[in-house]
Amino acid sequence: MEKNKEYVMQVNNLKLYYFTSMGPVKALDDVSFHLKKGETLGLVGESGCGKTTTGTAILNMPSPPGRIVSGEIIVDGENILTLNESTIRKRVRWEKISMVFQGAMNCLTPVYTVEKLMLETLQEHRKMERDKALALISRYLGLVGLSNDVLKRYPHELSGGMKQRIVIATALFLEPKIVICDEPTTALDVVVQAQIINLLKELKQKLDLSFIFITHDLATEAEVADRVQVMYAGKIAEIGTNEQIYGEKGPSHPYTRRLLQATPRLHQKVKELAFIPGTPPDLLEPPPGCRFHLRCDQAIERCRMEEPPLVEIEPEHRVACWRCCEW
Amino acid sequence: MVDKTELKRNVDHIFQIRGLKKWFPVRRSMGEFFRKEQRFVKAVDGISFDIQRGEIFGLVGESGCGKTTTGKLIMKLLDPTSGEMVFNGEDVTFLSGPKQQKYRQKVQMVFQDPYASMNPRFKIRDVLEEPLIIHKTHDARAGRLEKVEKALTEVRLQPPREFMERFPHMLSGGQRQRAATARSLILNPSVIVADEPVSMIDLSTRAEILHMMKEVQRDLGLTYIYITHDLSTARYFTDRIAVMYLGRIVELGNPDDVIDFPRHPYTRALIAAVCEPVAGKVNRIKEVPIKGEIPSAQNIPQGCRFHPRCPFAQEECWQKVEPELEDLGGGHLVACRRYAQI
Repeated sequence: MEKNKEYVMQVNNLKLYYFTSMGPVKALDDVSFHLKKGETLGLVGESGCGKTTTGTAILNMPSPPGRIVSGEIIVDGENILTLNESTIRKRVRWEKISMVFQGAMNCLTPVYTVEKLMLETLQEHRKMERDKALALISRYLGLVGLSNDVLKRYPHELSGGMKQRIVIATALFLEPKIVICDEPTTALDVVVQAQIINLLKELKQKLDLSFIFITHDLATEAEVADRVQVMYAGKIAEIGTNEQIYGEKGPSHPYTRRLLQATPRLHQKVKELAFIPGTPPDLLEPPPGCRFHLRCDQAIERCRMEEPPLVEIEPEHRVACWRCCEW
Repeated sequence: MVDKTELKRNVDHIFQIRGLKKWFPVRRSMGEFFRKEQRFVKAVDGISFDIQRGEIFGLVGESGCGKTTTGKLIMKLLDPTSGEMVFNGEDVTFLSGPKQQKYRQKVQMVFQDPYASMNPRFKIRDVLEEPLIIHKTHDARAGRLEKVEKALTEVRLQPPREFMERFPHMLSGGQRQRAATARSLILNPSVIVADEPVSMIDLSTRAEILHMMKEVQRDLGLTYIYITHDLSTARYFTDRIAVMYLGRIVELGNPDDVIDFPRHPYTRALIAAVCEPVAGKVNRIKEVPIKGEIPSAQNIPQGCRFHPRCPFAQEECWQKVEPELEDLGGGHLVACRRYAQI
């Protein structure tokens, strides 16, 4: 495999299956991508497309009954999937890669103060005196725009935005290089959502971080992601830069196009919103050929028979569609 | 006090709501008990609006603004603290017994979460049949099932007979929300209160559900009250939008006016905060012209309740009494003293 110094992480041919009683669910089927230093990579798609699964796979902690079947995840020149659990705990999780889980802000232990919550995480990883640890914590609280007053408070005394900021600070204070954010703004109000997005942008600059930003909302992704990876039914449908996906020309994969048409825009009055008929396929038995062909209005015979590879149609822009160059 | 006879005269308005309030009492501390003090969470604090027959009325705002409480007041799941509600020319502010049952038949609700709003042990047939049994509309089961079939056809769950035999878990999110809509239609209501009906549904099918709801509304001549935090879908779906903040309506009008020419500073901030799927915004920090977070509904700021967060607030905003909704013409109402200056 080629090694590129710009890349902080490389994922090659990753397969993750959920082994259910009905058979393996192919949640991630041969997914390859990379993350560059200092960029935000957005993962978008409908529920069940494998975006959260990708996030947990990168930390090598698939939720049961999931298991990584094959593939490699290379961070700092080392395949973290070959490491054993205790090494990953010691050297990878939170040290190199941390994650803001979906709904984490609502899962803060209600009987712990913020101070205790944050100290626990920090002291688990670092042997540090309480004073030093607290100084570090308060520095990170400052970075996420909170004052030290919150330390003595309990989660129920804080607003949603404040809790999300605490979760973000907790993900950052071991100085990881990569932060995975899974739907960090979904449960928040629009105004708070905009504030959190601004915060993530500032942090990316200040701390030189690389983000993976997972969301189902194409509109939010447009605000944060330098590159966007659209997933459908456990596969990557399209990867491109922000401009290639959201620009005038429009994306190249029919799924991305239709999804973008289905996203309501505030300043554009449309008579009828478009939608994609049907539902994503059952991943126990994915359809042959292109996984999107059953819902695609551009499908031809070849789409039903052969699976399209992810090919580069211009620099940085890769699409998995037989017909993508025809329009 | 509002003149009741005047309210009753207007038949174009299916709902006329005047000064509606819902205050929830807070449990008292020992000191407060002896001092005979009582604090309240003022969830809805004096709202007035009319809903026309056959329109889709949108209630928009952040969490905690009182939009869901308003929905519950309209559903009569809660009794108001004060104010007045007139439905079809009849006073329905306080109802009980058979009158309430009759009212609920006419006003139905679609809930946010189609996964939690259905009994998992019921087949879709039972889910839809239950309201008919409760309201004793049909004597024979055959009649009820016929009605169920008709309702499922109405929401395009085809073939209805097949869907009747399924359990909720066998349906996708979109199909469940269709079934939930069918359930709300089954008693031939004239009003449907839809509380965030699409917020839990995948983006690709969200438009499909809204589309279906709009079709049903047109076919049956229904009136909808659409409660949401999402301005983008509200613009597409509604005929009029009321923007709520801390229990009050701050701006009301047709969607084009409210979204393209917002006059209240709060509406402006909300609109500025909405993300849009267009390129070239990654490296910019978004400016949201609003300060801090929404205060608690227990301590509502004096004067204009938005003034502590408002970038345009001046002395008059907190010195004088709260501004009322003022008509700017064309049915565009705004509750701001300084809308002309900003």
